[in-house]
Amino acid sequence: MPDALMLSNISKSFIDKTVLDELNLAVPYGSVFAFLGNNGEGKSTTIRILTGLASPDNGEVVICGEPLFSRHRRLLRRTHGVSVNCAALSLIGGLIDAPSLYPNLTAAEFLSIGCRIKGLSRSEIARVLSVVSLQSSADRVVATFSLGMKQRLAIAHALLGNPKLLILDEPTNGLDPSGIRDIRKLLAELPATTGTTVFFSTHNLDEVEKMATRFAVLKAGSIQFESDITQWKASQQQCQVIEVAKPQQALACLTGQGFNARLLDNGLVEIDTITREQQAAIHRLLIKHDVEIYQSYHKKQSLEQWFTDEHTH
Amino acid sequence: MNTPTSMPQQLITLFYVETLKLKRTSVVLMVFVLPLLVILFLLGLALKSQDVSLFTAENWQKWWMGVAALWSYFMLPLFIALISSAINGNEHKNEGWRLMLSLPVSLTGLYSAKCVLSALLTLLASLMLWFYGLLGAGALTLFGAPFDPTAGAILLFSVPSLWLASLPVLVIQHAISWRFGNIIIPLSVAVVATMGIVQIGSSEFWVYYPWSYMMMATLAGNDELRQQALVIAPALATALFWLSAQFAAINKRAG
Repeated sequence: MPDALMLSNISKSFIDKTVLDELNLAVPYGSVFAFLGNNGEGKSTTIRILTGLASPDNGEVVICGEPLFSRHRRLLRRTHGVSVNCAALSLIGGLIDAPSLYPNLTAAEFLSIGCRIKGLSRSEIARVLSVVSLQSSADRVVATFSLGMKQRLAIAHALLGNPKLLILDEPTNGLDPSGIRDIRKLLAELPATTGTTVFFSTHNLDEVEKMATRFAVLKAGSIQFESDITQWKASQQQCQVIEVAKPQQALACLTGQGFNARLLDNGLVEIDTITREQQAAIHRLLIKHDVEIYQSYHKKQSLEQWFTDEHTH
Repeated sequence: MNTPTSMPQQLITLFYVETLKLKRTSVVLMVFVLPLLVILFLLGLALKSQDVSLFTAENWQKWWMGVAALWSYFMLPLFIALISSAINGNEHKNEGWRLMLSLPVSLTGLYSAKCVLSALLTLLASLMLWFYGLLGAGALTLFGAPFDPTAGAILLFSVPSLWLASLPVLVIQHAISWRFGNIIIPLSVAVVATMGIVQIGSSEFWVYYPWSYMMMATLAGNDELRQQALVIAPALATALFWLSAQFAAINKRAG
């Protein structure tokens, strides 16, 4: 089975700036794939290319086995001789940046645009509205919607016809906490419920840990790191954090016994650990040296911490 | 999913979609109100300037010619600019380009559907002008003017000619509005171009000035000039449409 999305050697430049440089990426079927990167690294350009809003200078984009762009000779060379393959576009549902809505239409009228163009029956409107919990607002004019409702409506539009690939740029932007939870749950469940593969970009790394099955980090226009989220979690260093009455004494005690420990700014002591036995040994050692322990907990490095350490410089 | 694939199918779908997008906008209002303003203005002028009970066949003809002149020299070019800006402005204002272009539609299809919609609304507005003209003429008879339907019938027959002659301007304004989000640009073009209609239209250079075709098609004294305008206008409109449709992709999908 081909990948749901495959990018091969994608390059894109604007005047004298190379935004994407030989970008290669494969998104497996049924995955919830997070696309990470700092501002200006080429994330938005990649998403614009994936949704047919921009064309690459070089390379190929294949969606579920269908090439998104075809190159040919054109009368006007300024169009880059690239045209978008509508058959590939019809496999995608997209939400790019802020929702694009027509404020003068009702939610149902707005969705009927996508329905008409994709050749879907009108019952699809009620289905997607209920998926994003907007069924009671079907006949309300979009201009009266809150930002969160607009975001939900845009997601509903992207979900029309159960696309094979859903491409979302910052999908939880503007949502309230319960809306964020609902949308995360919805997106995480989509591969199982409808077979839709989800590809999304976000700056919220907590979201990635909660939703994604795989992620990639874009830097300077090419993929710098890519991994399954479970593999990444397993590979992350774990540590023990303790709060004690005498941190300096505890630190001396632990380093004296060969533990790799350090004193944090907030007075806590952090010790790199490998096994549960080592954790028990730490507690025994501190009690033996008369160091009172107020609290002790096991800590894994978060994706946010990892991303900040590894990819922000 | 049954995405319309053939161009005629796509055009019909996109035409429906573009019509839907005009719901609750001022576009429909413009179609009905702008021709009415022309008639109200000329009705007021007729009532103020002379005793309508003495209206002769010549006066009636002048009144209807006034209707045609004010519409084709002034209001129609502005109406076309406003309609094109509103139809394309819908996308510029609401980031609709992003939505439409991420859907499986061809840019040429979208460009064509918007242009056809502008053309049909222009035809509808010209028909409304004739209808309001009839009401205006009826109002004049209420003020004592003798009933004479002849000149009104002539204006009705000139509506298709006027529409055909307006097509090159319509394509130009559509192309400008498609490209530029700022309504000032298409409106400035319309205002400046409208100012030259009478002067250039009465000269031998009218052929090179699409804005003068509407005047030539409806008000030219000689049939030969009228027919010339009616041959040149659709031919030029077709050529301009083909050329502008080639450019439609630039700065939309190509960027």
